[in-house]
Amino acid sequence: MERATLATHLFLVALPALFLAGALLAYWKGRTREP
Amino acid sequence: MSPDAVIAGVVVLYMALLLAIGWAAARLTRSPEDFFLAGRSLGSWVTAISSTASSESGWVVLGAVGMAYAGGVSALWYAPGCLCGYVVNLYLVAPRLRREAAAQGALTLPDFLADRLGGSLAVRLLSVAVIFLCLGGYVAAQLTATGKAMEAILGMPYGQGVVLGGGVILLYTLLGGFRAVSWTDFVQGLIMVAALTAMPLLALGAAGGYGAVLAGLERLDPALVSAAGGKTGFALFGLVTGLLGIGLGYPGQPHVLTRYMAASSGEKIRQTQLIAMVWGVLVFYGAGYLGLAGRLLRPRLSDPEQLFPLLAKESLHPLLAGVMLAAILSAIMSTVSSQLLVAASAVSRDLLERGFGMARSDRASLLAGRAAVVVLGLLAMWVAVGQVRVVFWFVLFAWSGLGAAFGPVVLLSLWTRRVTPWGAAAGIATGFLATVLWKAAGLSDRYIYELVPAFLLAGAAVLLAGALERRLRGQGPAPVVP
Repeated sequence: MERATLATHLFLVALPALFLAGALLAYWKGRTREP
Repeated sequence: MSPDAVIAGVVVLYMALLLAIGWAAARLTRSPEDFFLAGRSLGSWVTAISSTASSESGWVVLGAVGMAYAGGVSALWYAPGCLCGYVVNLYLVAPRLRREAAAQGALTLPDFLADRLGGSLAVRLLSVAVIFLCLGGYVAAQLTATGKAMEAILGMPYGQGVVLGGGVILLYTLLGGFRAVSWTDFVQGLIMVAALTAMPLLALGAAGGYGAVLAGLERLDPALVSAAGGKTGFALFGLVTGLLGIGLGYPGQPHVLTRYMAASSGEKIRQTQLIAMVWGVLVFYGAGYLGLAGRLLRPRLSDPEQLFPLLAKESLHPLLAGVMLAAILSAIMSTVSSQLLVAASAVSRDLLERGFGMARSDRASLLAGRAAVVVLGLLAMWVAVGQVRVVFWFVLFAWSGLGAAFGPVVLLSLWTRRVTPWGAAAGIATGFLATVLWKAAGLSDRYIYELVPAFLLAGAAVLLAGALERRLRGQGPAPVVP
């Protein structure tokens, strides 16, 4: 796959998936920054 | 029944539902804490979805879709920018703000800041002035958008649209205060996320799927499928930081922060974080994907911001189209009601009650709050009907003005011991003035979105003026409120 095409897919698909995965992880681990 | 009549029927039902919610909330509103903060009783779903719905105005369903339509993939930098703003708000601000505002008994953002800094009158008055200047014009502008949406959807004259839409908002805000605003925002947020999930899926399907959309856009112009948008060097830096910079505005929006203050517990905030992040991803990327697919489905639109209502009307059953168009009204109305209540609380609670010592009893405070909603709501409707131009000048920097004035001082006062009354006042004034001056000098168009430099300058002002005050008074850092 061409580098530019890969960058577009990462930007459009992987980035939102990363936000969702991070939110899920924070929820399950209870890792809010609240002391 | 004609399709237009069905759509009008759905919109009328939607308005009736909002009024019914206002009526139900009014029965639970007995004290100022109820009116301004729903008695700090919000659950996680309402906290999450009402806070996100109130922070996203008609911009997300009309403007963001239009940006993706016109600019292609690179316009979607706003999505990670806004989501980074959500992360800061939900994980860095919300848990501490909820806990500490409850400990202080603070009902509004100026309350929280001023009481935290020894009851500083300067901080309170400056906060009220910035809120009033930014949100007053914003409410009027959103009512203008309400009138235009009603004109387009129901075919009624613009002025009547403002009065009908504004009247419904005014009535449910007046009746049920914060609880009515939060509950209606919750319903409106659900309609928004449903519309911005369903419409992009339908549009992507109609255009042949994700791969076909990217291939089609590339045939139109290869820059449309590049995350850099064909830009290099400083132009690319300006594009990316400008769109990412939108996210810096989130920790300074009083109408969003008060939702966190109203959550009933820390556990509710933890659930809020997940719900709000999922909502944000669906809505921001949904708007972007809709714009990208729409470029292929309707290639020659004169106004790309009309893509969403146009596609809804042309390609859906009137009943569903009515729901989609109610989503546009939802996006606008949820922001208006939240801003109207915060602007009214700035006048009644912060200025009259806490600033000048008037209306101190619960009954008088509640009355003053409701009177402020009526006066400001009618004033905003009058401005919107008359389209008073000077007011709309303030709207240009309302998001960035609030973000730069309050964002740094809120974050620093929650996370450091370095904020003093002088520091907070200097930060609020610097953030607001830097935004206005940067914008007025035309530097936003030439270099970078005004919020980025104004936010940084305000943060520096908080720390420098705080250090100066402590040195002059011979004090160390103030203790953090437990």
